Amino acid sequence: MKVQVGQELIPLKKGPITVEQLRLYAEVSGDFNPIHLDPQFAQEAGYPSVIAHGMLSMAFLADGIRKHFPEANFQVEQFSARFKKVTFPGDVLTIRCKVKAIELSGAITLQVWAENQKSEVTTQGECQVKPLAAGSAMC
Amino acid sequence: MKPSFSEVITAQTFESFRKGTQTESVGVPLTFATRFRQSEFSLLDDLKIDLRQLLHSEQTYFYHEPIRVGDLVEIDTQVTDNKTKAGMQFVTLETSLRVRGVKKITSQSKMVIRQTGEMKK
Repeated sequence: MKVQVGQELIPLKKGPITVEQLRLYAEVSGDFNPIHLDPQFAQEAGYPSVIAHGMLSMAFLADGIRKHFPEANFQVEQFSARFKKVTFPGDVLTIRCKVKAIELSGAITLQVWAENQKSEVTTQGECQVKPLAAGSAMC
Repeated sequence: MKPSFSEVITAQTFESFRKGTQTESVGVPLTFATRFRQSEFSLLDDLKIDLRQLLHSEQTYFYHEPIRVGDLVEIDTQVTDNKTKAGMQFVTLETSLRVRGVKKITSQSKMVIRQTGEMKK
């Protein structure tokens, strides 16, 4: 199936987010900001509990992109994300991906975003992908 | 600029990152460069930024060439923008990942530092 402008791809579910997951993510990313790990520190910053790393949500967006546009067929040129709302342990995220534009060269611009269980957009991103071979714009 | 540090990428390096991000898709995770964020935190520490006030507002990756198992990746981070506007501090950090001098990934992190007393309610 070739993708078309405006097409929304099959979403990906992530979560519920757990405290253990945040600890594991801190280890692999080197992001030990206590706001993600220490409930007291998070409360001093004004949050009811620890908050998930924004970059964990971006990793989920990345996984959603690569599920549809695998490394074997697509080169990613640029990937950006804006962190709009914090994510807490217990939240469930739905990763959505929509085709924004397709250029004559075959390059595809994707809109990607994460929604929590309240349908609030927590992370919003954009990604440019390019087929590695002609005719491989499959999802 | 923060002095460079380097790391040899192994299959285990990728695998542990995939596990930590619950990545299901095949290949190198697109946010793999996040693994080297300790260089950013070291710079933020130099800038005496209180992490309680810090909001990571935006992140962009530019992919120049793929990173492979066996690559010796050199990482350096610099502050490319640091300004105060409407009582808020806006800092942009740029991290480059190079292999044998060739740039592979550029990571740009935009941070907002809230003033004391403007904690999230």
